[in-house]
Amino acid sequence: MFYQWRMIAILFCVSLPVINGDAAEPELGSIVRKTQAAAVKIYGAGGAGMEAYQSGFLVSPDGHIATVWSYVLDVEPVVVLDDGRRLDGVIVGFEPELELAIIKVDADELPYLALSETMPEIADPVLAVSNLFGIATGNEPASVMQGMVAAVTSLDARRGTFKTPYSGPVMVLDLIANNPGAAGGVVVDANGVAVGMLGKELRDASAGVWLNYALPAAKLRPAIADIVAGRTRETKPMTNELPIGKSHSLVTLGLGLVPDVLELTPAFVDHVLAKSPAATADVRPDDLILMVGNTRIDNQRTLMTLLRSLDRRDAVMLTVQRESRIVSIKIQP
Amino acid sequence: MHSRNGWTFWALVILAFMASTGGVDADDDLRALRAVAIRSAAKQVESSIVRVEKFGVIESGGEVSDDAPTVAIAIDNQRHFIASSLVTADQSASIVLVDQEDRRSTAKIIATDHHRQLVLLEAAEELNVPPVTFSDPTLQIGQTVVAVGRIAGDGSVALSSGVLSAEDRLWGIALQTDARVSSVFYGGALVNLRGEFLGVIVPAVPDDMGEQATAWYDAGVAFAIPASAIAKTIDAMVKGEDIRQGLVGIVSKSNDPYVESTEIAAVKPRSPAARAGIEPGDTVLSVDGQAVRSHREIKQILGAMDAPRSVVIELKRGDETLRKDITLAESIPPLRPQSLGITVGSIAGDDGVRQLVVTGLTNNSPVANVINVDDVITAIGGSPVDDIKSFRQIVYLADPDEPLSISLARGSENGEREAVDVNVKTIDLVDTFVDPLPESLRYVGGDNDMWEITELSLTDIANKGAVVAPKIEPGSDVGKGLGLLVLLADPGSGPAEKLAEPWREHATKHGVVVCIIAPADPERWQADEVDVAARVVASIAKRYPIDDSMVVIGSLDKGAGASMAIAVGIGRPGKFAGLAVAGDARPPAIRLRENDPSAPLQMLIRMAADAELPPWTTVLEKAGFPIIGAGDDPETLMRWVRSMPRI
Repeated sequence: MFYQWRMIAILFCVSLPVINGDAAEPELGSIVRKTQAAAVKIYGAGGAGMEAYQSGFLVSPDGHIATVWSYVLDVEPVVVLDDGRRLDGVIVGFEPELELAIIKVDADELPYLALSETMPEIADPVLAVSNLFGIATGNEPASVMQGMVAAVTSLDARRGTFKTPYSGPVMVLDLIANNPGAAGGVVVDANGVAVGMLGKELRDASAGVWLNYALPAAKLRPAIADIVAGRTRETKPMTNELPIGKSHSLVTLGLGLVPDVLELTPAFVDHVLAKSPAATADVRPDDLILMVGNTRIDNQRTLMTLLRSLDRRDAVMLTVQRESRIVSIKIQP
Repeated sequence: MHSRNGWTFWALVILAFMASTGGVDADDDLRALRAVAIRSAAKQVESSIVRVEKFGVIESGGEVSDDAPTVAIAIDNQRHFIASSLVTADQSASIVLVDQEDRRSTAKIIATDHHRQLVLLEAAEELNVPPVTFSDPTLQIGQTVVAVGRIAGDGSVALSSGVLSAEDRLWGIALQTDARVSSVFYGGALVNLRGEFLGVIVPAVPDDMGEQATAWYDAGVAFAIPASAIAKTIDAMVKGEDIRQGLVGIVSKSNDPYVESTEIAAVKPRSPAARAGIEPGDTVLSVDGQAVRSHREIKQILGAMDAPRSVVIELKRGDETLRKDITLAESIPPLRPQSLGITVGSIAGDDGVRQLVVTGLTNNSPVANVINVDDVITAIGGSPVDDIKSFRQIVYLADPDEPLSISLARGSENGEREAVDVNVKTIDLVDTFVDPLPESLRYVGGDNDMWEITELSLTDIANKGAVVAPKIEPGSDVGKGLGLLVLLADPGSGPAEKLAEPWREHATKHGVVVCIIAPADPERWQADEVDVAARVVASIAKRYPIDDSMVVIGSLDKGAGASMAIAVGIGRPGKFAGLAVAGDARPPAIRLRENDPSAPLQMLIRMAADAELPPWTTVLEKAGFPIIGAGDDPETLMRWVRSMPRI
């Protein structure tokens, strides 16, 4: 019996180096180094107390760098590579709706990162590599943070809550990504594939908190590929206010609200015009308008602004509170 | 062992080893496994978590909005949800719960746990959300935990992982974790890697930080109320009963909680401690069976208890050991700080032991006929007393309706001291601010040369300021016991030296050093400057002989400087004895605390004699702060500063 156990013990010890594999350097360490090698520090325009630097990462062997489109790029930026080389950057393309800019430097055979085609999953481990606070200069490697994907959600549903033209899926990160100079940094997964780019500092206006998030590589990939290949892109027009005659208003719906006397008056219905679309849809006095479509209405001004962006020919979906019940109403013009 | 079966066995073992070691790569590594575990742990509770929306809220001004979307957890099949008290509507139009099919229901608060900052909501409509399971899992410091919340717009699950850092935080009521949480997690669940429910995440900041509860969002210091505590209170809350902390009413001598002493300095009148017969001078040996060495430990044990439970406190009184069975109360009647209208000093007696001696009486003192100047006070309320601070606290906390017994040693013609016992009634402290002050409080000494104005310069603060103080030269006599009045200037008021000029004469005449401080940013005072005033006081006290019971904070005007002064006076107990601001000042958005008898604060509202105290002072009076409305003029203010040491 003892003889058997001794053999098992010897076998176990012999196989330990095999278990550890080719671990002269741990897996995580090599991913960190490879990512840092492709990370760059970008210096440009500052002013009015805002930092004049941000981060970026190489996406092609020919020197194309992905970064955020921001005030830092108001002048042609200087790019410092991981090995300390200072190169002049030229902005070769940008996509404002994706908050994306591509800078090119004149160098080749540079290490670059592959971009993921899929969204990562919640709780997936990630590393964020950026030059937050401008800590790294010259040939110092960019800083690394470890964390995971905290949530996969969309900025779309909360229009007006975030001051950004981007309205697609984002990854909220369980690490403090929101730091000066970190924007444009890269988020890589456990295999070293870029799954996101750290976004510009963004405040969630409804909660009052700074968001730790990244724009997904899967969304940026087509635009990056087009810019690198020199193809021009069709950009979608941004939604904004329609001319007064073309948009909805309280008049087109037939609603009157309680007097707007507080700083943020809730949108209580005071009266409904007879035979109006709102009357036909059975909106009643004292209804509290909670939402229009998917957008929360927390005061009358939000409601007015939102109505100005809706085409008056379209139906309007309201969610109201009537006493203690929640009622959905569709107003057909 | 050398049979054919033995070789088969070994072959299998070798093959098993090689199979298991051959396939190690990133997919098998620890981080990937952790992701799988975290996802599956979240799945155990996420369906019990709903979004909470608030509509029509008046803001109170913190960084995190008062109507920030948060979450709530279903705790039974009767439409009950537990949430953080952040949803407590001051004047909100409604609270709405949203499930993952975007079905909405209004909800009302049916009970509040004021002690743990939780509320129990009842949804008007059935949302068919499965309740969380209360399983009482074991806790281990350092274990991996996951915070689970929901993002507002589409309700996507939000996760943050960390470790369990500590238990019994915030005076015994909360778990601490280093997970990063913000409003989408408040009211959400903290789980272990098996998905077992450990607690409800709440916004919180330790109470002596004076900040809003949400100020530490995403800081890596986060708190959760343990499921085990909620399980104990949930039945009462479902019945609609609010939960409040159990109070006892004992007061420690200083508000430095680390001093190794459990001596009771005073007992709040009409409190459970008073009813149980606990007396000043008693030393606490144990609380609820646990031995204690400091007031901090006492506070930690009592901190977790709710009213109306009973607790046994063991005391030492002289040579006796006493056991007191106390029923903790929901509330103790607010303090009405009392006074005898006297001033006392500390002198060395014949045997070198320090004694309390009466040095003066106000002209309306209730003890004018029974206590004389030069009487030595030996005991009060039956307990011996020999230090000013304890004596002050006992008088401060006296029951205004009961007489107080005082033992004196009075010098007589033959030079001996004879014992005299008197019973006296106290009067409200606010009533003993008289004109003129007793001689013992007036400024004596100093060569009366006009005091000079010097620039305030502290190396580690950016604020500019000016100090009106006597010139210190070798051989100069500035007298003893100077007062100190710190006045905060409104942003944009101009150079501090100019603002200080009108105070020179008053300062010199009354022996009160005046220090004007301007905000570091010329446009506004910032929240983190709340400690600047205390640092300035410490620095001035090193240069000049300041009587530390005569230190007052105030403002020059009624704007941001006044709000800041109120924040400093109330938020930093023990640093200032008094707070003086104009009646039309706007109180800042800080957490109000009770006036702490071991570090009490008096307030002067500078206003016309016939005006009424502003409404915001009512709340402060109920919290035990004595408030006087008096002259808008510097003379009265100076006199008030010098009156601070009266007992």
